Amino acid sequence: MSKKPKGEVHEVINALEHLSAQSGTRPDVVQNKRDCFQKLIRYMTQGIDMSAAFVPATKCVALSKHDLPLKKMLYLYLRTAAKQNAAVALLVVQTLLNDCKDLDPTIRGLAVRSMCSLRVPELMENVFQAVDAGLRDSHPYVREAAVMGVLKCFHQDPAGVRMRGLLERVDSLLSSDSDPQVVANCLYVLQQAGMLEGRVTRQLVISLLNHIRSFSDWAQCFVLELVSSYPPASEEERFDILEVLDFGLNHANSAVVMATAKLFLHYTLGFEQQHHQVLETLKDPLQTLIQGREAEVVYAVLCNFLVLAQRYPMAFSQLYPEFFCRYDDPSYLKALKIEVLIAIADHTNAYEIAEEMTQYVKDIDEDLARAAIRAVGQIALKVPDVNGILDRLLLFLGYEKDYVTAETLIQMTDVLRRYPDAAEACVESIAAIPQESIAEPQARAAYLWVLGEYGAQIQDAPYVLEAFADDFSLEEPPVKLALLTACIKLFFRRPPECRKALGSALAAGVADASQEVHDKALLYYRLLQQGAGAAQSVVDVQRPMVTSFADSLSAETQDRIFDELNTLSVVYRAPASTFIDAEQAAGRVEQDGLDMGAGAVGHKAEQESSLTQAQASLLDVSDSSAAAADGAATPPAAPAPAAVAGSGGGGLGGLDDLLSFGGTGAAPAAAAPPPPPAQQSAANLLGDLMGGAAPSAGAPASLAAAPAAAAPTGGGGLGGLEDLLGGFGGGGSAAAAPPPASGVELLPQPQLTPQEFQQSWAAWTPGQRAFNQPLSAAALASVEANGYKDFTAHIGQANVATFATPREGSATPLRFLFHAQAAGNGSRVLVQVTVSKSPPAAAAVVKSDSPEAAEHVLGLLQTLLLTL
Amino acid sequence: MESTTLWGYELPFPRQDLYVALIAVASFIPAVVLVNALVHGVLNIGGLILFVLSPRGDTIIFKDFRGNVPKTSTEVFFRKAKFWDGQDGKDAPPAFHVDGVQYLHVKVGGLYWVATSRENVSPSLALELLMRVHSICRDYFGYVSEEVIRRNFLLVYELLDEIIDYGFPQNSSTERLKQFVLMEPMIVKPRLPGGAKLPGGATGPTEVIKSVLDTDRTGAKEEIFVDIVEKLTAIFDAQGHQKSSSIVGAIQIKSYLSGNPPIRLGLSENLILGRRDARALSSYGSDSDAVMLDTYSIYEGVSAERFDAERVLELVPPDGQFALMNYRSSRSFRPPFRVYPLVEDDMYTGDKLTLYLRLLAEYPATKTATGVEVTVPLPRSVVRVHCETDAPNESKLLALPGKGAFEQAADWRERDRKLVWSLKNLRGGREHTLRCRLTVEPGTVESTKRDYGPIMVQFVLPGKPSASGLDVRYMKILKEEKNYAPSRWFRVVAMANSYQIRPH
Repeated sequence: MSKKPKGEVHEVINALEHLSAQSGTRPDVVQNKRDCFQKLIRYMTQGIDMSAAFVPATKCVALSKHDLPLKKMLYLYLRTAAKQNAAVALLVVQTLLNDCKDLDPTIRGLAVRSMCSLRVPELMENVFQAVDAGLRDSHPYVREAAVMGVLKCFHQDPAGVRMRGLLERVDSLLSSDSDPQVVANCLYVLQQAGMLEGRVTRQLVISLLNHIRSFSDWAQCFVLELVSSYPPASEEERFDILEVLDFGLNHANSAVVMATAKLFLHYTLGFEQQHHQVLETLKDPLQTLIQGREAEVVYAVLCNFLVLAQRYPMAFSQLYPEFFCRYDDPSYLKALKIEVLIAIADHTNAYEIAEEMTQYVKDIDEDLARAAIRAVGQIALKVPDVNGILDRLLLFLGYEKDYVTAETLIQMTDVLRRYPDAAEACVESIAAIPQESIAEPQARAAYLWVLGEYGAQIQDAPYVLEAFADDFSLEEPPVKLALLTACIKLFFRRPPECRKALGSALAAGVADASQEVHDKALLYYRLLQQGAGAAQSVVDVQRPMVTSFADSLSAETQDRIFDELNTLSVVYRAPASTFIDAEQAAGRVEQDGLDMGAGAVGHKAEQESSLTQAQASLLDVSDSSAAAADGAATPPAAPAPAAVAGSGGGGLGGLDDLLSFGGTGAAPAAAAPPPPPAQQSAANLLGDLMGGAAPSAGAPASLAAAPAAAAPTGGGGLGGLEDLLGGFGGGGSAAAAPPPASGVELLPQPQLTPQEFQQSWAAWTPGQRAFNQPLSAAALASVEANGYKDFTAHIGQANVATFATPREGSATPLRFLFHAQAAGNGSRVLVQVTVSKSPPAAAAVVKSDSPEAAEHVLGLLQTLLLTL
Repeated sequence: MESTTLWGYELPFPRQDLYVALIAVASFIPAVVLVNALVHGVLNIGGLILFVLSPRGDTIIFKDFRGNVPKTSTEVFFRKAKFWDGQDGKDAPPAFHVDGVQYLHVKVGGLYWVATSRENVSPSLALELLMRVHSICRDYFGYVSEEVIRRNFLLVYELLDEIIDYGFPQNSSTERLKQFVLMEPMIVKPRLPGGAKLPGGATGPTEVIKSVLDTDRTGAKEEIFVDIVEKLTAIFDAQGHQKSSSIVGAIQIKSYLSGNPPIRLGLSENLILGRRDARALSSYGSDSDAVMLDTYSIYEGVSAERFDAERVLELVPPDGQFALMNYRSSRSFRPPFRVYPLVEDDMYTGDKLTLYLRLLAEYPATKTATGVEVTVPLPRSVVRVHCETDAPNESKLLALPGKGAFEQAADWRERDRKLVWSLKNLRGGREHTLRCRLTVEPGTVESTKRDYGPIMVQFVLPGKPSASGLDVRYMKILKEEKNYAPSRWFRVVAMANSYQIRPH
């Protein structure tokens, strides 16, 4: 307990005792009492146990019955004191019960609220009594408190609440009470108690909507959320509801506007024309909020808006001046506005936006300047008409500020990958940058990349490389990797001049402490041993022009965030599952919660599945980096987003020239699914090379650790490739394998409760089995057809029963839960199947208490998925 | 019962508990109001703790509604928000999460108002709720500052108790609160010298400081304030051409009328609302002196039909301050200020420049702007700045005390790399020039010329007509009572929202 001197407590108690002896009606005495109570509460809130003051305090108040503020203070004191000292609560309960019958509704309401907050188990009986009477009270203030009291009781003693039918009473109040706040509280309590599931009927919705304007702002938001989960019976009803709620869009409270906007957008999802009308109507209210409100409110609005802008960039392209930064905007708002500008940039406004960004680049705020340069770079990538915008980047190079130069260089490399034709104009200016003004590793790497690619056009490129190579050991690993590549590439163009640079870089590289650098240098070295021609054919290949860069968020994630509009998901740009503590949510059994398994396991499973998915497909590079970005839940800091080349194995090739070797190597393997043994050995060789190369893949392009880069070096790359090939081989062999003859028979109609499922799912994690299988487009379509019923029936043929399916129309990945029970020993098998769309694949996790049963079901599933 | 600890103090409170803790962590760290309105739910309403922290990190108010957020949340919040991104002085975004706890905050009245939650709440809802708590405090105490909240902490708890019950926001209208909240506010007179801006007082220029309760309880003078506040956004190039402009305005009302009688306001008759009206107008081919508002939103209690037809707003004003109408206008306006920058090389030395700023007050002499501030960011190449204002003692020379008097000062804030030229009072029609000698690093003359700016202007300019042309023609208080003549105050104020001159 606190070490505060006892003296203060005594002082207060003495004062109270002294005051309680005086007549309670004199104004000066009342004032003294209030002052004394204020002191009492101040000490109490500092954590000092003031329960000793209980007797004089109550006496004091008893003699000044008519002073309500004093009474309120006493209740405030009692709530805490009762918890510190249950005996106190027992003494005071009679007073509270009396107050529950007071003539003044304020006192009755106060008493009910205070009683429900006491949380002393011995008093529950009295609390129920008070709540019961409160629900019947004639004054809405008391009923409001009593309704909330039911929920407080429910959390302490659910059985007691059920026994007394209090929730049913609340339910009947919901349909009969005339006070909007009481109704809102009823709704809230029922929803919290889980009694509203399936109760949002047409009748309820209509009566709520008819009175919606009499609710407080907050209750309106709550009702809007409820209504948005209600599926209208007919098209007519749908648009009637929208008409009723139209007022919400011009509300002064942004929370109401956002809730209304969400409902409008989700309601019109299936109706394209109306959907676009909604977007159109949203513009005005959003502008009013963005221009007229406090920065914090604007931030929340803009976070939602950004999701919309990324989804429908065309709809908002003309609003761009609204998102120009103000000088007194807080930094978070400026960054967000720039994001929005990038999202809505198109050929109609790109020039103006770039013009505005140019102003920000001059700003003394470095972060703003960098964000502006990034924006110009991204707009250049997005809007094909690159001329004016590329010039701006060149202009920035002339600003002679180190951070501006650095950021511009990084952006420049991306632009050059996208528009190789622009190189002519840029290379000269880049070459003119004094080398010592490029300090940041990422910028140095970008600079070296340009030297390597376009060194033929730069007079003294070999000597610059030489200078770099001489100080090889002083550089950061990403710079070293870029330097190695630049040296070897330029070597093929200008062999005599580059010999020295390449030699010293390779020597230093092979001796380097960093595994990645070492491996890459060694790879080049060995390639060169095979002859320069051979090495050139591997390293110096014609790169396909990059036409699009991977979005930082996958389409599925973006859909999920759109579903979760007007929640924190839009702020963090990640689905709720990534930042909401699953443990807290685990208590609630609902479909969405269930498919994640219990608690933290679910979280892990999801990450796992996104990784395994990525491995299952050839085009995995972009996917896995996207998954990594998802996991990190932050906008990727990667200066150069992982590049995705147009086709086939190019997905690997875009990342780095070396990988293009891997890509072309892998492509033939992919073309012939069951690899003949001869090719297998070739693949091994290939794997060996990849072993050196793969780990370095992520690093030069981005510091954001893509899974590939994080994998153990050496063996990691090889393993990756084997996986790749194994995926194909595995698929083939499973199809050819005879039906498993394990002798396990499954019961036709297994039974399982959600709780059992959750517990077992968590308990059986060790020993789980998993597999991935690519799906054809037709198979994918059949999964989605008919509200997943065809798919579940298909699985059901094998006596594997469906446990849960996603909601119809959910965004991919779709998650299904199945379960089965063996006939012999009754052991259970639980299955989660995740179907993803791009690339089309199914990933299954099988858990069971019996390994044979799990194996059996695994085999069955593989066959079933193949025969979809 | 399990106990928890808070700043090392053991609190013998049970887990599910509604309690109030007021903690001053250390005397040198100021404070927070913390309200925890914890609401569980699929429906994303809440799950909030609410607290108020002073800029130094003291907890001023802490209210936990549900008890499922760790009690150390105030510390966690403050550490994270204060050193956002590892830097002191960066603004933390209004929403972030640490260890599965969501922190949402607004920074008003010089305090952090924070709500915490474990649910995926609606950020708009949580932030608006915090804003509402702040504005209720403002209505009750006249203005909000750390001291005001400290002195009235019990009343704040009482208010919170009524505004939020068990994490679910209740009706927060002032009428309801007046009925059930009983403690008297302790009015703290601001200590700042007259005229200075109150912390967080930037929301409205109505400087009257009194509690909404005064009228009913102490019989103070009945009065109502109607302000048209317009914030101007404009960008000019070096030649003074206006490249873009817009107005964001609000009709703000601060009402101290006992018994809340209805009022009626008549707005300009030539008011054209929204794009639809504008289209109709253009078909007449008229671009007269009509007042055009692009978008607007009106206080919920106003009958929309009457407004559409007659431009009349009829409503029952709630106590305290509220926005009757928010609007935007993209109509171009006559810029009240112009600034012409000019940079001259020094003929004799290679490291000196002279920057001239010419400031023109282009409004009628009947108006006087206050708090005019011209800010010029200067690049890092600038080493020294020496400023000369024109005729600093002009007031003496003109021997016109009072209206003609003005004070001006120019200040080089090296840390922020900003040159700030401030003029306390500036009467319409005047012109001033600031001359600055800049010493730059050798060889950076050209880049300095290129990199200074943009120049920003701040001002408060009271007086009709408003920039958008919007006006209140009349205001009637609809109360049938003899000798009922409450004071009616009416003002028009223009302020800078983003008023920039881009020299390049």
